Amino acid sequence: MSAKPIEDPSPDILARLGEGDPGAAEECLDRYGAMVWSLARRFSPSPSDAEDAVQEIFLAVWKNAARFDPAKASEPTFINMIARRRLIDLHRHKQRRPEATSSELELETMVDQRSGEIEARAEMRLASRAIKDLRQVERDAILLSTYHGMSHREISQNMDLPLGTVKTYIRRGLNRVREQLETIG
Amino acid sequence: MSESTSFTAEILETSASAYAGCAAHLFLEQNPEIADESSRGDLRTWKSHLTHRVLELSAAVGAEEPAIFAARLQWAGKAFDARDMKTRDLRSSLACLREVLAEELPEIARETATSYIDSALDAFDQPPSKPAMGSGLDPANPTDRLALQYLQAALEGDSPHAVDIVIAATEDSLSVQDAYLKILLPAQQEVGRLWHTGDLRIAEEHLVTTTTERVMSILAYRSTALAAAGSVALPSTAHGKTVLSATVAGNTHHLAVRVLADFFEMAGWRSICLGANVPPSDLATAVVYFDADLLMLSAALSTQIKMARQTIEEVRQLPDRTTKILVGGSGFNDAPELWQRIGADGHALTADSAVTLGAQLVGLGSSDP
Repeated sequence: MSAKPIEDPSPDILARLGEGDPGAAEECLDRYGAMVWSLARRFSPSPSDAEDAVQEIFLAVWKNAARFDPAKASEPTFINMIARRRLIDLHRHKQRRPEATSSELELETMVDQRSGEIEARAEMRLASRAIKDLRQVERDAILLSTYHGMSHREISQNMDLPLGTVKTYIRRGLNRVREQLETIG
Repeated sequence: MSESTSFTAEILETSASAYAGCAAHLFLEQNPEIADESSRGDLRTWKSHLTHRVLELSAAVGAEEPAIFAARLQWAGKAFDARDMKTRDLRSSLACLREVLAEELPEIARETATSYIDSALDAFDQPPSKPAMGSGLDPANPTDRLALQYLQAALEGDSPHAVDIVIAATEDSLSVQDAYLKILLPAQQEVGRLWHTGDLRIAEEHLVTTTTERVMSILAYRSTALAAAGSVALPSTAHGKTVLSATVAGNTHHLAVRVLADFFEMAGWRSICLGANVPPSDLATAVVYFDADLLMLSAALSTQIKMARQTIEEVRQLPDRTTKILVGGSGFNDAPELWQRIGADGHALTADSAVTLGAQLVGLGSSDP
């Protein structure tokens, strides 16, 4: 059983958005909508909150697309960063509102824990380098999980691999990345 | 259309509710006294109002016609007025939308979007050039009186009586065309006016429209049956040309194209009416299938212009076809030259002028309904 090669998304959507190319926004939504939705849903208390969050995230993508530099990050990474920052902002904003519920506060705590990781750009660059050194199948599984927001079951279908094998690839791959980071650190 | 305006229109349309949401938040933050009033301060209501405005702005930018957005804002102002909502709230919500767009849009899109809002706000601040909307029906005029009687019967749910009023008039001396032009259409326009001024609800508008459809079916049947029986002369000699009528995808108002289709039929055309909300590719397929010489396309709102353009492009791509395309509907009324820019061959304001223009476009010379 061999894994399907993952198509490397053409890296020019953000550049085209930045130049005001008609059609680029819809293409961007098509390509990254699921990834952003997956993130928003994870950090939002309800589907309708997640929908609002997705819309706001894409406003930020449109606004910041011209600043995208492919030498510093890939498109999915750039959008992922924007999404996470906007989600943190949204939860902080909700916390200031008197009607914020305890579950919202718990969610914000979760997001805050992740914000430390997000802001550690140097660490991310190292992680990115470490991911590149992984075996192809491990790298594909991790990218589908982290960049594209797929569940393990979706990855299993996409790569035509048993669910248990996908979990193993991801666990092993992440362990190897962690080891590499510890070695460098 | 330039790439920059096309991009700006696309971004506005794609993220309309998100920009509207930001503007609604800002508006209620800046106007805490409104936020405190439950009837006026509902975030969802303001977001919905502003989403409409962003979509209208997108349509205007996409058509490169600032006048479209200015006209829609004037229209919204009258609707606010009629529903005892404050037009100054509408104005300041628009100012908030401008602020949000100036901050949040990609830099390349900001200038166009904000300049359209600025010119619409300037026009909004001018004293109205037309008096407040009053009824166009005069009870002293015999056909207007019939239209009012028809409307009253329809609104009371007495459809049989409403039908009788129109049929009796045609049996007396009124032509079928005049029954459309002088009773049914003025009654429908009055319904639109009453809805706009808040004096009629959607259910009542639907009630009248359903009754009008019933009358039109009866009139069409009677015209055909009477002509077949030789009781009346055919309105016009058949000339073998085919017209296809439809509203663009997204436009659910089908009555106008039904009227047009009937007028073309009475003028001797083979008239095919596809009704409302027809997707571009399906319409193009129908043009081929029915071998249409003329396509009559209706868009009721400025936000449907983009779809009209797409539909026209789809039909133009058909190989070896010379189908002429006429457009109509209130979506085109705020920008007189718009029909040319979206690739149509003509624009008609009324049913009878559509028949005349349609005949000219397919080389029939004049064609009286």
